[in-house]
Amino acid sequence: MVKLFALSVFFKGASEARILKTASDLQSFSFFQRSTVNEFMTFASKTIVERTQPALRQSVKQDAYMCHVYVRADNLAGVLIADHEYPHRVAHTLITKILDDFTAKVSADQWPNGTEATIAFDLLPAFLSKYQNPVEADPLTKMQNDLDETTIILKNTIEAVLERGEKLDDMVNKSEKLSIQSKAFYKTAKKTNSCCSFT
Amino acid sequence: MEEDMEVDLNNEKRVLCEKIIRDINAVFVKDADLASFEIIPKETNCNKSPVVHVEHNLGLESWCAQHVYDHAHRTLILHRRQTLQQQLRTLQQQQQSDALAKYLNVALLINPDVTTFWHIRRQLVQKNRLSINKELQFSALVLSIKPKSNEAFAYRRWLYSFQSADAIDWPNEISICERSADRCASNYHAWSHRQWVLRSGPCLLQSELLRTEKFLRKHISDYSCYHYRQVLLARAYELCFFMPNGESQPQLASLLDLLAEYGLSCEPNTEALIQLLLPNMNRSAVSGQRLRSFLYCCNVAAYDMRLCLEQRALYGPRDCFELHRRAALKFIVDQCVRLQTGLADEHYQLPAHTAAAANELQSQLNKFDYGRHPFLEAVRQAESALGCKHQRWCNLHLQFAYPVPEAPQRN
Repeated sequence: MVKLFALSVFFKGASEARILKTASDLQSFSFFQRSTVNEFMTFASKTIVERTQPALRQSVKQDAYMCHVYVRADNLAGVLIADHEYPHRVAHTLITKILDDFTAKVSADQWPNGTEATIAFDLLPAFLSKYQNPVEADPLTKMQNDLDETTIILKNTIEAVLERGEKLDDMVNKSEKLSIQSKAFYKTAKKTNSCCSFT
Repeated sequence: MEEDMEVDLNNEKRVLCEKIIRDINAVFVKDADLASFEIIPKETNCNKSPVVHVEHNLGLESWCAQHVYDHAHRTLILHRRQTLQQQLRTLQQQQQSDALAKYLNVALLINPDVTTFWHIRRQLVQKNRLSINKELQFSALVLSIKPKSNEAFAYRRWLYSFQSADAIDWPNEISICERSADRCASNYHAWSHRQWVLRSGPCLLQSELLRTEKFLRKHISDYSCYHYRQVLLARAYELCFFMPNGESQPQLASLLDLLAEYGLSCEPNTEALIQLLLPNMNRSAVSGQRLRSFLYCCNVAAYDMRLCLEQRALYGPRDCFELHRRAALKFIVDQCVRLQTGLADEHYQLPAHTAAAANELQSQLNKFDYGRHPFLEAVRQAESALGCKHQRWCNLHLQFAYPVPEAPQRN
């Protein structure tokens, strides 16, 4: 399936990444899973931004999902979660475009302390629905021919992005952003290795 | 003493299961538009009802699912073991028909694979104890938790056998197939159910062509959809289908593009196209409707060939694109040969329908002199550029007779 699940913009601070804006389309998940999936997508996005050096692009595979991230040199970061069939090049072009638009609308001094409520940037849902069809991005990819695909670092699991000694299970357990319900979900999904497991 | 406690515990569990089943039944009664059921992972009992009902979605917490299923299963099997006499007696005693339905609902939602339970439902429908509409709704609910449930699709077909074709909501049936196929890749049961709809329902060809295109642009490597599209195309040809305002040119644009790709130029009108594609045909033997349908279907096939190339450019090479392009190419070549050799009578049969017809086509392909046919010769020239694997396929299925390099000798 060619599908975009979530788009988000982060500011990568000294100690942690700060979420500035996010949008997601989780219609393809069953009803009671959606909130959990949403939490995990945010959790995974944040984790990956924190583990990505500035001025770097990464694409991290996890189960059936692809998490594309770009942290700019000025610490503004964009994350796009798609399924693995969504073209990588298009994904990264799209992130660049979102970050450009974001910079144009929101001045840099708001980034370090902004929250989802204070940042005025409402384009993400429109992007999310328009670019479900990657063909829509064709003019964009033509414009940004400078995006060199070889600079995108491919990682096969989230574990590969983590720093030495870190374990995903521990992080899930410790996280305060994940509800008890989501943690239970994570455990069950891991146990049954079902297709709905997210991280 | 210990035994007593065990009995108590069992009793307590039974009462709890009964209560949960009652709760679920209450949701069924209250909400006529239930859209989905799922089991919510939750390992411990938090001392509140495990039945969750939000916005027409029903959830059951996982900790109790096993016990509830065991209980419902036991009750139903017990009922089956009773003799008819006993069943009648208990039935009279406590109006057991809906009681039975409530166990059946729970058991099948948790485990949709038990044919026996579906069979009990059929018996109840036949005795008029379950309404057909409610049953259609229930089977759709089962498909929300298990989109690949063949039992549920088969049950729907069985239910429809009691209704007249006009009374059936065919577009809804298509949506159910589409939703199930969207949830689960390579969903054989959903796509074969859709073929059944195509055969039994009204003419849905035009809308189906549009819907499947949308679907395969999204599910690029789910070959089931491509195959269904091939079935659609064959069906359209079989029914002599074409768009009523078939004379307008844009409808044949894809076919003209394809010809241009093969280096053939053609006046954009029906007559010129037929001259080019079927130069040696005996016109008196073929009806105008057949020819128009031929052009329409070839145009769809040409459109698909182009689509596959575009998809390949966007997503990189994939088996689906290659295979579907071949299938479309084979359709065009086959129909050209058929019409020119007089194989196609008015009652065109799907090639797969009879082995004899397939053999006959094969022998005609064998004898066919591509050199005398500018279009097919151009196809033959152009396709040879696509590599030796493709050449081998063409030799095998289209009898293009490319010279084959000697296969390395195996010892």
